[in-house]
Amino acid sequence: MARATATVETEPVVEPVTGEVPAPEAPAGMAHETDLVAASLRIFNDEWEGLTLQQKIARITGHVGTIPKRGYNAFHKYHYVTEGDLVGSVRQYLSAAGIAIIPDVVKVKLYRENTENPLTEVIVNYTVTDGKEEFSFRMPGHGADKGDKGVYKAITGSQKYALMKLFKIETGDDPESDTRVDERSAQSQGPRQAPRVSTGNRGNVTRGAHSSKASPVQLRKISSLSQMLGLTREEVVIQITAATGIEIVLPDDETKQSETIVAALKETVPEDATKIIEQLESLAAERADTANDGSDGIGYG
Amino acid sequence: MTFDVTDQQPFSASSINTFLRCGKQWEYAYVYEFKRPPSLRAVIGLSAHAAEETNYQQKIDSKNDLPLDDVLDVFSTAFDAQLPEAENDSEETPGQAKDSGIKTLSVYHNDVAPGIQPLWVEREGLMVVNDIPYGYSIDLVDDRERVRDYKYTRRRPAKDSRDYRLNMIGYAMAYRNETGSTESDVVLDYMVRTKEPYHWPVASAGPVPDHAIASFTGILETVSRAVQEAMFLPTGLQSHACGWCGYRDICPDYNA
Repeated sequence: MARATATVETEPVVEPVTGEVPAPEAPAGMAHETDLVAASLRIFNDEWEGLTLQQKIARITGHVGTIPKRGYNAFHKYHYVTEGDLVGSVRQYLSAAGIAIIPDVVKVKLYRENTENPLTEVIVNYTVTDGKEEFSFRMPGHGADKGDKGVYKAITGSQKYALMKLFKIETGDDPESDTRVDERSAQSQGPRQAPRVSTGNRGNVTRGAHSSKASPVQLRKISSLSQMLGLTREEVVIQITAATGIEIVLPDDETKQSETIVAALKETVPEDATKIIEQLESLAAERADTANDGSDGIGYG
Repeated sequence: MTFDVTDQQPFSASSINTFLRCGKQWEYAYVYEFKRPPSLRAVIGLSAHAAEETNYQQKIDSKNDLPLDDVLDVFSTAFDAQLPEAENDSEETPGQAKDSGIKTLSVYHNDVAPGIQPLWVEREGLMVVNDIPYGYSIDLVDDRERVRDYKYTRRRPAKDSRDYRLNMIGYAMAYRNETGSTESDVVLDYMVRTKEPYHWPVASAGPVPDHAIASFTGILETVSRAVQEAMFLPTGLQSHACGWCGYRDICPDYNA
């Protein structure tokens, strides 16, 4: 570290990067690069060699500040910290301190394969070493790309967040306040699993999802009305015949009687199913009137 | 007695849209199957569809459009056949409506149809989405894999209109399911029936995104659950659907 120590006396005092955040649209320039070098050299002194690796990281952490968000995602309309700016902000410190961060991709997994939006996940193991000590940590990364760049996007994302978290780098925003993520999550309405889609038989289904036969929703209505009225199977058959003229012969085997009624109802046309519903509703109304009359009679009697 | 109904109620774009407009309206249309006469506006749209269907069906092989007079003839015949059933419209007479339809169809046939080489015309089918049957009828898929639907309207749709959004997502899903291929675009060809009719295409500028399909699926599942539970809320009271609802005279919630 002699090089760093020797230079520190002659370099002008440069404030840490914090507080020097240029506007997002400002291009990265040579002056920024030079300032970083100067800033990085100032933090090292004779004590440096005596520090543990973790202490060195902590010292660098104290000197890396907020990174400007120069990147712009035109599609989703937001600014972001580029990997280049992030690496550029810590590279000089690491170089001067003789610290290497060695990536090793330990897992690659492809999600939503054969869809329009495949997603690659990587897990990268980072070994941080100063040649004497070392420690490791892992950081996942995700990259969406229809072509062959999914892995590289994922590694780039992983490296960005590895550096950000290792050096506690601020980006000026907080994931908790990222409304875009919230909006996108809301859009997805839960897990983004592709729906199971298969070809069905159009059968009785006509345009507008009407049906040439009694529909399931009509059958359910008839069932619930029959239950509400407490009708027996024989009584249901009587009501069906009264409404439509359709004769249903119930089998002696009682376990088959419901099945027989359902089979007959499924063969009715929707208009007849409506007549049955109206018949049962009319019966329900009659019973309600009778009940009301009865209670009135008792009440006023 | 009660009996199990294990079959799933089938849905379609118009069925879902009806439910989203008003649960009560859906109940009248699908549980009671009360039929309403088509409006005059609907008759124009249906007749124009019949006319262009005739043109596009033969164009699949011939690669040429029919003469305008032939197409207008189909329109006129279809219009006259449906007119006796149509509900009166306070905004235009049947004669005005027919003239407007002919003028608009002429613009479509001369300006839009020549640029479309159809692959599918009025393709009907049924797909099952997460166990829910969904029927569809796709107006058109062209040779550039653009899923298209044409609508006749009296006013240009608003810039941020979401009209027919579910229809188009469903068509794209159906196209993918049937072909294993992904649509290049979904296009709503609006024909605006003003004094000087014009074509107003609204395109998605690319395939339907995943989040739109997730949204569609979520809505379909929610509507299916609501129907299964017989939850027919009169939501039209708040969504202002009652104004043109054909069932409002018999709706106790509207008349309450």
